[in-house]
Amino acid sequence: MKLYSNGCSYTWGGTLFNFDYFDEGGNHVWLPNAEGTEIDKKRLETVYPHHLGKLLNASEVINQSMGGGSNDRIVRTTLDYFINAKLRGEDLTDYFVTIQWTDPSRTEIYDQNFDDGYIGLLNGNVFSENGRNNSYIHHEKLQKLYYKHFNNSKDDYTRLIKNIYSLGYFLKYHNIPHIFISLGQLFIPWINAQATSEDHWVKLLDHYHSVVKDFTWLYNDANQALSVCVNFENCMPKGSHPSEEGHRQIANALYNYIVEKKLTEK
Amino acid sequence: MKLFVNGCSYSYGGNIYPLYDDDKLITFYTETDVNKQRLSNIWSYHLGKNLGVKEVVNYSLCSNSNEAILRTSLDYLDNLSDYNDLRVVIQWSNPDRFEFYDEINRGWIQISGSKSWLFVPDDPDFDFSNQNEYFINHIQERLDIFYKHFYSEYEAVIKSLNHFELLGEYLENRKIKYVFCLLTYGLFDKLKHTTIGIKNKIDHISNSYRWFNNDMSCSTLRPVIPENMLTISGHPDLNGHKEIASRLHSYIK
Repeated sequence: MKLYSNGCSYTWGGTLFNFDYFDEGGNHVWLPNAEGTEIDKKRLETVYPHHLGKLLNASEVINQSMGGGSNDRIVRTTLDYFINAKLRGEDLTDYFVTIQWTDPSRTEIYDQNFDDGYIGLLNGNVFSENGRNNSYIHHEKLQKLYYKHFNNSKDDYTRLIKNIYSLGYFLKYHNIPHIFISLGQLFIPWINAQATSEDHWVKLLDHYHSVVKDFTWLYNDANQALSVCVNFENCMPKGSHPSEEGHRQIANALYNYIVEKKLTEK
Repeated sequence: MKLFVNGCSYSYGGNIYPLYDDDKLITFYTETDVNKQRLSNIWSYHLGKNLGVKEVVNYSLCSNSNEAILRTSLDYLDNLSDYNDLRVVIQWSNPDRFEFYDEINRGWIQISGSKSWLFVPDDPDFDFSNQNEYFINHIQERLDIFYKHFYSEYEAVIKSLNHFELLGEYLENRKIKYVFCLLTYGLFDKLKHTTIGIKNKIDHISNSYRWFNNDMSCSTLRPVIPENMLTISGHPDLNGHKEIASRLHSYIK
C-alpha cells in the first residue's frame, strides 16, 4: 500500500521548516522547489504522513502538501497526481489518501505573465512555488486586488464544497480509500455568520453534514479540527503548527482511527 | 421520469426570448406568460416530450459560466432524495466565462467578456429598474481588474475541466443517467497541444464521462443545427431547438 497525503503547512511542516534556506556552501535554497535535497528529506521525515506511513507499513509515502497552500491547490495537485498514475496504469486502489483541508479563504491563480506557474493567495500573504526574480512585487499586488475585490465568504464556502466534492467523488469513483481531516472547524464560522437563530444554526449544521456525508472524515465529523489530535500546550510551540512530537501524535491518532474503522481494508 | 437541464443561452432560448420581464430576471421559476412560452418552446421541452418525462426542470441562463452551471446543478441535485427516474443533460458553456459573488448587491455576476456580464441576484424579486450608474460601474470596475490581472486562457481551461470532472464524478457516483455536451471546443483544442498535463486531463475527461456523440471533441451542439435554423447571433431559432432535441433524443435512445 502507498500513502498519499496533501494539505497546507500543517502537513508540510510549517514553523519547523522555513521556505528560505542557505546551504553549507552559502547557496540560497527555496524549499518548495528543493526536492531531493537533504533539508527537504529531513522535512518529509519529520511530518505526520511519514510517521503514519510507517505505522501503516506503506511501501511509499507521497506528500504533496505546501505551506500556505489552498484547497484549490490541494484538489489540483491531487487530481493531477492520480490522473497521471491512472494513465501510467497504476492500481489506484493500492493507495490510501489523507487530505487535510485548509482555510477556505485561500486560493490560487495562474500567473501567465511572470512565473508561468501557480501562485498561492492567502489573507495577508502570497507565495509562488516557481518564483522568479522580482515577480513577488507583482504577486503582492494581485493578492491585494484579490482580497479587496473578489474575496468573500459566500465565494469561499461555495468553492470549499466544490473542492470537497471534486476530490471526494473522484476518490470514491476510483475506489481509493481516504480520510478527510479539517484544519479548523470547517463550516462552523460560515454557519455562525449565516444563522439567524439557534434552530437555524442546527439546521445549517445538519445541512453541511449531509452535504459532505459521502466521504470519510476523521471522527466522522467535518467540523472536528485536527488540533484535537495533539496535546496543544506541549506540541504547538508557537500556537500555530505542530512540533515534531505533535506530528507523531497526529500520526498516531490517524492510525488509531484508520484501524478502528478498518479504512485500509479492501 | 424527470429531466434536469442546465446550460447557457443556447439552452435558455437566447435571442428568441427576453432576459427580463417587468424588470425582473427571468429564471426557470418565474411565473409569467413570457416564461411559460419560453419553457414550452426550447429544446429541453421537446426533449422531455420525446423522452416521455413528466417534468422538465431547466436552470439555464444567458451568460452562464461553467462555474455557475456546476454550482446551480449541485444546488438542485443535492436537494433531491431519489435519482432513479432522473435524466440529466448538461450543456457546458465556453471556458472563458467566469462568475464571482457580489456581496454588496447580493448575487452572482456571470462574466462572458470584458464588457459583457449578467447580474443574477439571490433575491428573485430584485428590481433591475434600480440598476444605477454606481451599480454598473462597481461591477465593471471588478471586470476590468479581473481581465487585466487574473484572467489566463490556461486557467480558464483547467477550471472548466475541473468542473466537468467534478460533476461527472458526482453523477457517476450517484448512478444518475446523464449526457454532457459542449457549446464550443475551440479553447480546449487550442490548449490541448501546449502541455502534456492539459492533454492528459482532456483525454481523461473525454474518456471517463458520457459525452454526446461519445466524444468530448464532437459533443458540441452548434454543428447539429442547420444554418437556416440559427438566429443572427448564432443561437438556435425555434426549429433549431427542435433539431437539438431530436439529435439528443436519438443519442440518448
